[in-house]
Amino acid sequence: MIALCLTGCGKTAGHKQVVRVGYFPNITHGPALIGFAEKRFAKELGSSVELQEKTFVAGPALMEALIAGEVDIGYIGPIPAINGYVQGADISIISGANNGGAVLVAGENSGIKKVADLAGKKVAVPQFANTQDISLRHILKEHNLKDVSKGGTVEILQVAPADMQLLFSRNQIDAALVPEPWGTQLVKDAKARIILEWNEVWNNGNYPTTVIIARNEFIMNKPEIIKKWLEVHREIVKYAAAEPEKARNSMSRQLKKLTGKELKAETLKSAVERCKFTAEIDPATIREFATLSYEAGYLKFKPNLTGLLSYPKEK
Amino acid sequence: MNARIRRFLFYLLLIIIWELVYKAGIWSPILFPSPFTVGKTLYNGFVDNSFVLAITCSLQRLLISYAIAVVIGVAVGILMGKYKVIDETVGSLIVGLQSIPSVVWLPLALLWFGMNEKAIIFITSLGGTWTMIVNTDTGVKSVPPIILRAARTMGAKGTKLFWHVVIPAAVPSIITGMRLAWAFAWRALMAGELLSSGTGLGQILMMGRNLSDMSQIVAVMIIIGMIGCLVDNLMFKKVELNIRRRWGLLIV
Repeated sequence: MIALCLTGCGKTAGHKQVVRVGYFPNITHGPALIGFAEKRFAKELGSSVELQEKTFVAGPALMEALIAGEVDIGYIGPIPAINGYVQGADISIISGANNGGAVLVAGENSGIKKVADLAGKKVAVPQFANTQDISLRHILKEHNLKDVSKGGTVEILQVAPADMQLLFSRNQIDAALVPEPWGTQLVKDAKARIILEWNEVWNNGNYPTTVIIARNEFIMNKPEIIKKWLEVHREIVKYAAAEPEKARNSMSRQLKKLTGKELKAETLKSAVERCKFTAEIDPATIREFATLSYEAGYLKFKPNLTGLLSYPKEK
Repeated sequence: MNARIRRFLFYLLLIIIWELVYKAGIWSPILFPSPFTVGKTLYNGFVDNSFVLAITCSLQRLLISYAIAVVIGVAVGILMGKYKVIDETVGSLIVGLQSIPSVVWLPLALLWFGMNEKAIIFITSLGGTWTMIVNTDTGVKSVPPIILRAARTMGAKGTKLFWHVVIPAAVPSIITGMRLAWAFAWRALMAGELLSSGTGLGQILMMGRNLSDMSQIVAVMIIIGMIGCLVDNLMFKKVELNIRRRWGLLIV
């Protein structure tokens, strides 16, 4: 009886099919913001589908929701997706969503002008074991720097992006690797200086910061919904490139609705310019991410990501 | 001996039930790890030293904070017990402050001290201080009148009466306060570590969450519970028992 109710009530409200989607109120999740602001997903899926939005502030929480079966489709960083998959989450990456969109900034009094100056400094990332953390460790490795826990001199701290401005102004942190719009805001409001632009962080900016994942069970049962979702997603990516101003307005509206705060137009513009919305996935960089995560000690073994990446390739 | 065997069997039974629930497959293994996986995580964590480092770090913070809490708590408690003015003024404030969970102070602590040890030590000390004050105060105030009368008959007065009779008589209550303060500080520390940065048990637990590694979360929970249990059993229960026996509060 309970089981019947749980599955019954969870999947359908009345006769409608419920699709639950998780994403963050964040510029790197731009395609989701645009899609929901302009009701593009709802229009394409039709009136027989009820769309439920769930917003999260960090990947691990969204991953928990996916594992618990409370979210069907999620916009998430590749690292939480890999971590969840390694632990046994039954999910697949079905599309890319955004590449780049993160910058390395340093405080004005930190004396940091280039990556090599990070030695002996405190560098903040939004969360340990997230995409920015892994990117930072990759940069350190390229410059022969090490973090304190590995016997090096760079202290990596996890700080919520919203707290970074304050900690910069009090010289509690020297640098930060943050996704947009935080990077632009730190430059504008905390007088932080860009050390690495979005396309200098890694691989000319051609690395995923947001991907779309879905529960395999959902993919198997509702292939037509997934197909439509990805069609809309590809349209949004094209539209954002063709009509950037309209797309920005939509993002701004959705962010205002979700967070109650409005981003200044110029902040939003420069934040969006650092992102590259996409529908492509580059399996090689995702595998590279997994290797870095393993080298950072977050993963106990080098995972085989075949299952995670095995969703039928784009036509 | 008998009690130990019973306890052992009880825990064995718990683990068996845990394994059975796991085997029943109600929740997916990623949500509900098996005792074996958790055991493996515990083993690996101790072998690669990461758990030992975290425990050392957490206990270090706890000891510093606890010392601060006990010193401030006993001092303020004695003052409150001795001087009516302080009791009427500071006392009312303490009652109010006691009802604020110490983790609520974290945002302020982060602003005042920054993202570092000091902030966590601050909230952990707060966690223990209020209880320590209240218990010391109660101990000082509730010295049995018969003891006071006897002491007075024997000529003890003023400060002498206070330091040689009232304070020793308050010791059982102070010890209870120390035990409670330890538990409160331990909780405050975990809350602080979960929300802050650095190393420690709370941080390892959060890392488990970041990695979607439920077995790490459960392993850290077990460690936290065991440390709390060990400290309570090995230190405070014995001290408390001894004091009670000395004061004739326990008839053996």
